[in-house]
Amino acid sequence: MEKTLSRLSGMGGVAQSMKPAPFLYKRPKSVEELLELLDTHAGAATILAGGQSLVPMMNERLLRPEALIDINTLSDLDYISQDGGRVRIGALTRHYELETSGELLRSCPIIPYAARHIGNRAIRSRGTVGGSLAHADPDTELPVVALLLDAKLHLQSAEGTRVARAGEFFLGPHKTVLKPNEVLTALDLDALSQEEGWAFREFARAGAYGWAVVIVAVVLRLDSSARVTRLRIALGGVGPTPVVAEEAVEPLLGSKPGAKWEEAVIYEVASRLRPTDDIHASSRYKLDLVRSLLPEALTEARNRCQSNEGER
Amino acid sequence: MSSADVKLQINGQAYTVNTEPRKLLSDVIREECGLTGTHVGCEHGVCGACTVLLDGRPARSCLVFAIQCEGMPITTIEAMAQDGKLTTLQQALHEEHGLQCGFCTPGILITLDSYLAENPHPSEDEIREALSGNLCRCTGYRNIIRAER
Repeated sequence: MEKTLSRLSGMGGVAQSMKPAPFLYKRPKSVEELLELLDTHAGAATILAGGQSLVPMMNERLLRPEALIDINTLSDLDYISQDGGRVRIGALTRHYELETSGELLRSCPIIPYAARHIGNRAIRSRGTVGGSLAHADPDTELPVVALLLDAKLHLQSAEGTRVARAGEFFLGPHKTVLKPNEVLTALDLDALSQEEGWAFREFARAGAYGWAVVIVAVVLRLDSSARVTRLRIALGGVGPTPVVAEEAVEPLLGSKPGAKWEEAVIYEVASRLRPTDDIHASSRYKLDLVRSLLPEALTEARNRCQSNEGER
Repeated sequence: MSSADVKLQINGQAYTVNTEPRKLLSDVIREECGLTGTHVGCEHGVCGACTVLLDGRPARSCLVFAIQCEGMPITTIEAMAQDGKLTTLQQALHEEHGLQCGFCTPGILITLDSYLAENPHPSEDEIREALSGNLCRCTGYRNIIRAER
């Protein structure tokens, strides 16, 4: 995880070993037992889900948790369910399950599509949606999609469950509102409707992980007279958290989308972004990527609305 | 941290190893079980050399602790050629010079074998995508991709 390394090396020092430091290993048999363990070890324990980001960091000794609580056998947290227009995804659902879920392909097809962009097949076999959100890397697929779809995240502790919207969950790179005794157990999303088109675009560096530089995701709804009644744009790679362009798009609702409208969207969105330079790309380059990915995404989302229209 | 007995099932055979929870599956497969066909390269999930099948799906054995794999069938490269007879995929890699030093080959075989089982007729782009998690420093990938075709 050299990307994470480059971000954390200032905090953790230079990696000298490729084997994790000793830890106390706990494998709870139920969510209740997990919550008790989190209470007992609050602050000293780390939850081990898919481990595809955590274990590399432990191998590098950037992280040395005193205790690891392995939730991989809690099959209660591995599910995708739908109740009317509401979709619920258990935190332990693996990326490959997101990719292939018939339920999601029908209700929220942007999720399987985005999940296909994560790492590679071996990573997707193990990585989980909850782990990905709790890891809170602002340049990764699922945090952007969770924000785009305004996901409601269930944060559970021995004291009870609270719900945080994706927009308030992410505080910074690898920082979330999760307290040491809390675990992310599920997320709720609204299914996309027939009137809504979506698009997901990512520019990634070549290589084993295919890390994204910039991610753009769009949901767009047209009414019967082809006016835009909903436009939501979420972006990754352009700030310390994924961002949603809310203010920027408000004045652009109610119009028929054409070339001028598209230009206005791109201007409004891009002019509010302040991406920082990093070792992978300059701020200017990231903005250029936004300006080239966004029009593609807007067109694709619009086409999806219209092809849905044709099917009805 | 104290060690404990960990029961593993690798290539259909039971192994009981006494090891610490922090021991990676890749190291247990090689050091405790003596199955050295699984190679260890970067040890942080980037190179793909240590790819094995966990529950039938490709996974990095350097990104999972052996203690997590109790009760989970594990398949390594040793399960591939039976009685010294190469599989079609192995034979194709051999014939197309799809390997040189061979370090990455076990991971590539495990990855592609499981991919081809699900997608028997991939396009070249799909093969490239399927191989994107496996680094090879010798072949430049061209001969590996030719072998799949």
